[in-house]
This record gives sequence, structure tokens and C-alpha cells, in this order.
Amino acid sequence: MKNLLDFTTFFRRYEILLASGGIIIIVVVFSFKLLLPNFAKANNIFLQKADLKAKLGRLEKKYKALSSLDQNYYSASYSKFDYVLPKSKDYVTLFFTFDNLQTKTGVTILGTEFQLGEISTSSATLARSKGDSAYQVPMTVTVLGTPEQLENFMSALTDLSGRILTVDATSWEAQAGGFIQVTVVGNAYFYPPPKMIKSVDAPLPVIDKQGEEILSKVASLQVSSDEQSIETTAVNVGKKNLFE
Amino acid sequence: MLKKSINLITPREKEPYIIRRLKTTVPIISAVSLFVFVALFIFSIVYVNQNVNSYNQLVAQVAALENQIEKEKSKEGIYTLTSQVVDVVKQLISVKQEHYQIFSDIWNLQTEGITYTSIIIDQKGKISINVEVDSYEILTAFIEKIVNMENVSKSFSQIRAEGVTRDKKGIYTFTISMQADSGQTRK
Repeated sequence: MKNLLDFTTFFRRYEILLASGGIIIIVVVFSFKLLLPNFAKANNIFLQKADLKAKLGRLEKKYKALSSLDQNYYSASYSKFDYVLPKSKDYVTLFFTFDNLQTKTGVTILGTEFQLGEISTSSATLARSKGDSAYQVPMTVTVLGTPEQLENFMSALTDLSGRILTVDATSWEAQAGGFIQVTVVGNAYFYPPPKMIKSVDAPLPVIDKQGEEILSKVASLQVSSDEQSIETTAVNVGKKNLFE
Repeated sequence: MLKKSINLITPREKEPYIIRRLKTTVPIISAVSLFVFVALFIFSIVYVNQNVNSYNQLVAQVAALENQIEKEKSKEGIYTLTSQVVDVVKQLISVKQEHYQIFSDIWNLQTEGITYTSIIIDQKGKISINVEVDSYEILTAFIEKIVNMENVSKSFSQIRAEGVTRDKKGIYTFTISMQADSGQTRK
């Protein structure tokens, strides 16, 4: 009886303190159980909204850019790049390039030598040129012509009228009749297409002014039916159409 | 008659100071914390409810656009591949190839009595010229021209004449090696 009386006295004396403490404890527990998860959710929504808005902006921009592209133009241009920078070594176009160079510049090609090496385009033994991702096909070409013809010949190597050929070293020898014989040591190139396309919200690559000039030059290449028929029927130079 | 009063209530025990302080502060703290909790809880619920709709709308918009872009994948693929090939071509053709210019500069030094047997230009712009000269005077004049190209036009440097020989007919044969300046070579 006395204990009960003591407890009642104690409770009455400290009831405010006990009630306030209880409220504080309840607030702390509810904060952890209800408030913090709610805040986490709100924060999550806030952050994701910002990300989504940015992503939406990128997607809208990309979709707008994609809508304005002419697929036929790029498909046609891309396939014509096979005559400038093919997907495989494709030595047939190399010989066509030299034939065209002879016709166009008037030089006489006395000999050509290519290091075709590995047949597989994905072989690790193939050299890639520095600063880009095209594979090299080392070559040596011997040409006879006048200085003017040779000047045209040298500048025509990279004028995108045929396979791109770069020059590493040259050896010039004077011949009778004002002719000069040049031995050109250089590289032809090929570029197997990459297999991966970036994520859906990755921005479209930009083709700058110089790129557009290259593109229009290649797109305007006149490819004779002979070249086309030889390439597609007799020589396996890889997939002509990406979406076949 | 004098009235006597007796206080039977036991005097209240004086509470310690800390208890008195707690009795005033703890209720205030509890009231404030309860208020803050309720306010924040309401705010969080309102915020979540208000934003969840626009969030869902955004998710739907993104998904719809992704679908549309997915439909244009073939177009994107061909454009991306084309731009990559264009970039590679750009890099390849941007490399300077001045072999003809170097040859032309040297060729134009040729005068009566000078014959080049060969001119070799390597990848790093190192030039080696095999020359035949008819007389000593022509040889001197030729070397002067070459030196002039180093000093005046700055086209070449590190000019060296090696292995000068003279045959029975009085023809001088020698090799000149020199370095084309960086503007004339591709690497």
C-alpha cells in the first residue's frame, strides 16, 4: 500500500517531465521510422528529377538532330567510303586507285608492292597508324613521270578520288628524257567499322565543316559499274551494306 | 477566544535545482520537437505527393523519346559510322606530305654541270642527295646555294657533304645529307 502511495506521489510530482520525455522519445522514433524514409524518398525524387530533366533535354536534342538527318544520303556516302577507306584491305580498289592515278596524272606506274600480311582484319598483328584507328597496309610504288606529272600524282594521293595513300619516304632518280622515277614508300589504309554504338542518350557526333567537305567529296565520287561489279561479285571485301 | 490552528500537511520537500530546470525546459523541448516533426512530416508528404506525378510524367516522356530514338537506330547507326569514318579520313589527310615540295626545292638548284643521281627523303624529313658535278667551280657554287638555303630561306638544316670523290674525267661525286625543316615534313 505504501509502495503504491509512493509511486503515485512520484508520478504526480514528475508527470510533466515524464510526459514530455515520452513525447520526445516518440518523436525520435517516428522521425527514424517515418520522417527519414519520407525525406529519402523526397530527396530521391528531387535528384532523379534533375537527372531525368537533363536526360530528357539530351534525348530531345538528339531526336531533333536525328529527325533532320537524311538516312539515304548517309547510307550512300558511307558505302562510297569503301573506295576511299574500305572496311578491309581490299586490294582491288587499291589497283583501281593506281589505274585512276595513271589516267588522271599521266604518270606511269612501274611497279607496286603491298604487304598484305594477315588475312584477318581483326588480327592483332596488324599495325594501326598513330593518332587514328585505321589499319595500315604498307606499300611501295614506283612511278615514272615528269616533275609536273609527279606533283599531280603526289597531291592526288590524298585528294579522296580513290584510296587514301600516305607517303613515308620517297626516292627520286633522274631518268633520260627529263623523266623522274620515284619510289614511294607509304601506307594505304582500311578501317573495319566499330561494333558498338553509344548509349541511347549519348549525343550524336558532330561532323564539322571539314568533315562535311570530305563527306560531300566522297558522296560525289563517281563509281564506275566495272568497279562495283568486280567488288561485289569477285572479291570478298566485307559487308557493303551495314544493315544487310 | 484565541483560535489555534495546526497545519497537518507535511511541508513540501524542496526539489533540486536541476529537476526544477528540467521541469521547465523538457516540456518546451518536447512541444517544439513535436511541432517540428509534424511540420516536416506534413511537408515531406506534400512534397512527395506533389512531385511524384511530375516525376512519373518525366519518366514516361523519357521512355517515349527513347522508344522513338530506338526506332531511328538504323539512321543513328549509319550517321555515327559515317562520322567516325570521316574523322579517321580527316586525320589521315591532315598529315602534311611535302615530299614533292622538298624534291622541287632541291631540283630547282640544279644548273648546268650538276646532275642528281638520286634524292632520298625519309619519314623524318632527312634528305640524302647523290650529286655529280662537272667542275670544282660548279661544286663551290652549288654548295653556296645549299648553304644559302639554310641561312636565308631556312628550308633545310644540318647540311653535310660526305664522300667527295673525283674521277678521271674530273667529275666530282658526293652525297649531301640534310634535314628539311618541320614545315616540310609529315612527322
